[in-house]
Amino acid sequence: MDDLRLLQQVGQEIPLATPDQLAPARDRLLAVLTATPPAPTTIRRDARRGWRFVFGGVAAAGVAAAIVSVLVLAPDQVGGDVPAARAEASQVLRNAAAAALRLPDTTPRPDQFIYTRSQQGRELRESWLSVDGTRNGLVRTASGGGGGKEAVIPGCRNGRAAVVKGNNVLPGRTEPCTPAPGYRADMPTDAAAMGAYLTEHRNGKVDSVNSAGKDVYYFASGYLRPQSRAALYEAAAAVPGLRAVENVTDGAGRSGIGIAWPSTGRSGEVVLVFDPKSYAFLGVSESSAVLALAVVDRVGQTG
Amino acid sequence: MNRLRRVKAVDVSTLTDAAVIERSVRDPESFAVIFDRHAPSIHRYLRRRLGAEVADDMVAETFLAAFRRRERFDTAHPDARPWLYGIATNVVGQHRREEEREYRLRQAHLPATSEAPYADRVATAVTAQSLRQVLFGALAGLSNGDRDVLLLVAWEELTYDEVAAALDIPVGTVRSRLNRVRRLLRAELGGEFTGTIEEALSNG
Repeated sequence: MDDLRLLQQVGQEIPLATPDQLAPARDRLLAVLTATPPAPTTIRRDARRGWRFVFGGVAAAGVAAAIVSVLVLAPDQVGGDVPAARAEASQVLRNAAAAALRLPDTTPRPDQFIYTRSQQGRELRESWLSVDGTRNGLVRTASGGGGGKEAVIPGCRNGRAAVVKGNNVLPGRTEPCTPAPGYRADMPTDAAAMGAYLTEHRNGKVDSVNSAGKDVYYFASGYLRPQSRAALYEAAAAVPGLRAVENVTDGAGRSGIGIAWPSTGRSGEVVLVFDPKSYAFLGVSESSAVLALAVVDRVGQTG
Repeated sequence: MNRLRRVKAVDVSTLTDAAVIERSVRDPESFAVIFDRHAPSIHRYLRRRLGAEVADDMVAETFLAAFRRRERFDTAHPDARPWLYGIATNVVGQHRREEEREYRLRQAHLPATSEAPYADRVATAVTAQSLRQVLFGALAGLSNGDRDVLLLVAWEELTYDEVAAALDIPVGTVRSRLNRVRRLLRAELGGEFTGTIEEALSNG
């Protein structure tokens, strides 16, 4: 008998709230948010206790020169030397790094956009993010059969951005902003520097392997030049305690080989999924999928 | 990073909860992203414990309280869920009478909006009156601290670490409370009901 499971069953009788149900609460909150002046305060950061780098064991990786041409996400067959089915996690990641180096290299121009098509649960999402953050971008979402939504991301030019309310750009109104580049031009290109970069830009605790996995996911699902992508996977390969998991599926149902990042909690292990043949990064097991990633010239263009 | 949304100026959807909350200090409106990401599950948590009418109001209370405390959020935690669940649990704590009433009601009745498509055969079996009686009766009788831990784990699927962070108690206390409360629950569910449950679960 499992009392927790029994309890879970009665818990499932209560559905998640719909946006309509939440609308009055959201309106109440928004009324307060819009009436609150910005406060130039800093938020306390966690003390850097237990300073231990997840990515500490990274050795410098030799990276080959890359080819320049048009961009696609998935590399062709890479002829990996270890069959994925019996591979070690570190070998899978090294294969992924080798495969990344065979991807066409494109340096995004400041006036271009990073196009991403991805799936998060049942939500399909397309985004065009300005490479330097100065152009207007767009996010288009559609969930399971329901209607789609579009939202403009105003570009930040000369420290000012258009004001958006809901999905409408308010004519003639601007507000202070900081450009949010859709592509980080400063990503390291070797594994050691990437390890340091990941440690510096981490979102979780310094010694949490699980949250390091989420950081790798975050960077892997954006556009990276081949050498940086290879460095990212090489840095990941040096993390101790990762496991290769066979026959996992990403958020879009594509099957692949998983790299499990252990969690100290009871659940929530992050499993990054790679294509078993091409070693292209696919997404996160059972939750998300990167379906397309490209550098394009204008919003609306998909590759 | 799995739950992606967006707001103005920056694609906030690519930011962690911690980064959004940090940003909301100078850009209060971006806090709406935190609502959009987490209000559905926080609302469900409140509804599970306090009933539908109270939950509609209390989800706003929870997020208003969170917004007022945003500068105290520890940005070392990328995910705001434990923090929000902690605030929501405080809100529940101010409504113990409604909570008990909700469990008493659900002892006898399935909620009108029961999510039939998702309820598998186990759930159907579990809705047998006798089991509901015992289970919700037991819930209503638990101590507050035990019930908080139990429901954050069983209903909200928080990890022990997340429960510890939400309730601001040591993780060891989470474990010991959970052990104790599960023993209590099993004792109440045991005996004559054990067979029914095992049958229900094995057929599921």
